[in-house]
Amino acid sequence: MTDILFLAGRYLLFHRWKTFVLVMAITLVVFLPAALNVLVERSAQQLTARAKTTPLLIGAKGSPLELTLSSLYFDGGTPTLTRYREVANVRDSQLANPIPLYVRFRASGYAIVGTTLDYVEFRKLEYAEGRSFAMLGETVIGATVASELGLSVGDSVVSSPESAFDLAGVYPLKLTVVGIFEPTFTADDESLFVDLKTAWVIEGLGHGHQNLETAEASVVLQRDENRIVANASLLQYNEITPENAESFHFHGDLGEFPVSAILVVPNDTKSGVILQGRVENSAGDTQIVRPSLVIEALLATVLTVQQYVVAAVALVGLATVSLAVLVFLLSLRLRQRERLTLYKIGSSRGVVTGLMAAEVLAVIAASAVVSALLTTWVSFYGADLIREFLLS
Amino acid sequence: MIELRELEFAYDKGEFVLRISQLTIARGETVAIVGPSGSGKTTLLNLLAGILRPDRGRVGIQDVDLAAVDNRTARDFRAAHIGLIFQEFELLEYLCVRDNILLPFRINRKLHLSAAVYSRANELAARVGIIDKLDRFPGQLSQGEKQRVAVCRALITGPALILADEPTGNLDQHNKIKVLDILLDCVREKDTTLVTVTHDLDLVSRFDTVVDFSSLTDAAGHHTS
Repeated sequence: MTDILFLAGRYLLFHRWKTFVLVMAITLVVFLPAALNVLVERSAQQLTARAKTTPLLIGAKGSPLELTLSSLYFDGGTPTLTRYREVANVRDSQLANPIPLYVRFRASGYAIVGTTLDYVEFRKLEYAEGRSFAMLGETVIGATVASELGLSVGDSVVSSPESAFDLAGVYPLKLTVVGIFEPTFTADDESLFVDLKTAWVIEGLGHGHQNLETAEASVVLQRDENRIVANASLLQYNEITPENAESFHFHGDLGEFPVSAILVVPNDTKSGVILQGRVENSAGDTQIVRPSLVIEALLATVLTVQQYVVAAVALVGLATVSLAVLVFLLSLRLRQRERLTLYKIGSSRGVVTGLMAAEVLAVIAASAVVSALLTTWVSFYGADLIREFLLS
Repeated sequence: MIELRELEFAYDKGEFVLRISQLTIARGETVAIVGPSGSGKTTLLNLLAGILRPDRGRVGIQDVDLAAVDNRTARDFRAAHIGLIFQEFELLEYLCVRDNILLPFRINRKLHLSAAVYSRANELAARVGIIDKLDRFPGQLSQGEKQRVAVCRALITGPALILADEPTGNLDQHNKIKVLDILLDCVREKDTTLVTVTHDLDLVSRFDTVVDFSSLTDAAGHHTS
């Protein structure tokens, strides 16, 4: 047996390129459907798990999928915004605890999630280091953000401007890292969490500047009982520090300020149903969605696509296997003289058959091993890729 | 050593019939078989090797009648006691020279590959002048070198009988003489019997005995002895 394997190995090594092509062809046939299956299953698990732990979402009327993806995975674009007043409405109903989410800005490619500490409690996020955000300009970052950007407590990170060419747009705000969450292997790992008001400051709805009461006279253009008008030389802060934090303030009605979604945690099932009914029946411009149902609908579409892809791969696979069989048969025919020589110099037909079979089996085994390795790799790293793909 | 008696062989299709009433070859004798194409020279080698089975008669080699034993016994006997050399060398392209020489030990379970066998392979390679080419592949060798590898492969089991079918047929004049001299030296040194089919009449003088198949053809086109 050892000698047969030795000879088969020598043959395959000598014809290494032919062997490589055969192994790769068979690998693809085996690997593609398996990997696709694993990918879809893992992604479905991830998507479903997050959706199942999120009871209800309220947002502006529009695409339920966009609202769900934005609120659960902080990706897939910002949905139509709703008003902060809706948070108060839910709270006033006493049917549920509302957790506002404002996901619009990014820092170094990672989403900045404006929310409240209720979110940390709701998602059961644990601190690996530091503490929760307590004042404007503070952020607690996910484990992936910390490792990828090399950040630790005390460091700072700057929010990205929405457009480098929009002079009137959102300006970068320097955020101080005060905590890092333990890894959760969810979208929370890839996000920076700030107080909702900090998100509004990033947007420019709140700002901080030099105290006009104590400012030099040259800065003040006009002063009366109700208001003070300053010129452009007034010092505006783009970093919130303990020294200037108190100078930050908001103009206008907070109830009109934007949030991208409200994560709703009903007191109980009945409360949830009542709340859902109220929002659905209201003539307002909000919608309420159950994320698990939205994700189920998305996965149903994905599974249908997967079935078509698997069917296509099966057809290609059939063609590939047929070609591989043809290659093996032609190879056997070409090696008829070799078989005869082996027989003449003392080999049994069994050994000759065993040699040829060992070569075929070695190719199949190599393909199986490569496929298994690739599928394992995909099962570890591929789910994130397909999630990105689904969200993009 | 070899005794053929009342031997008769015919292929399933065709009129060719080989008949040999008596042929004896002594141990250590070198025999050249000459004759026109189609006269049955190669058929005789295949009968002596036990690859073909006669319709009648005895193929006695070292007191074993290959005509009377089953295929497996004939094959094991061939592997252990008979070395074969072919006109086209029939080396395996994917094995290096060393592994080609050792091939009989890898394809027959009755033969055991040991350190002594490796040592014998080196000795043979040195003897035929290819010791520096043991790691090369047949595609990297000249025709003469390939046939020398084939000679080593035939001799590696220490056979009592070497059957060579046109061993110089694919070689130039210089290599013909060289390879044949190496082969004859090797078999004479070990007292091995050599039966060679050849068309090269210039070379037959080097053999102890010459059997001419053309003189054995009877009126019906049958070959008899």
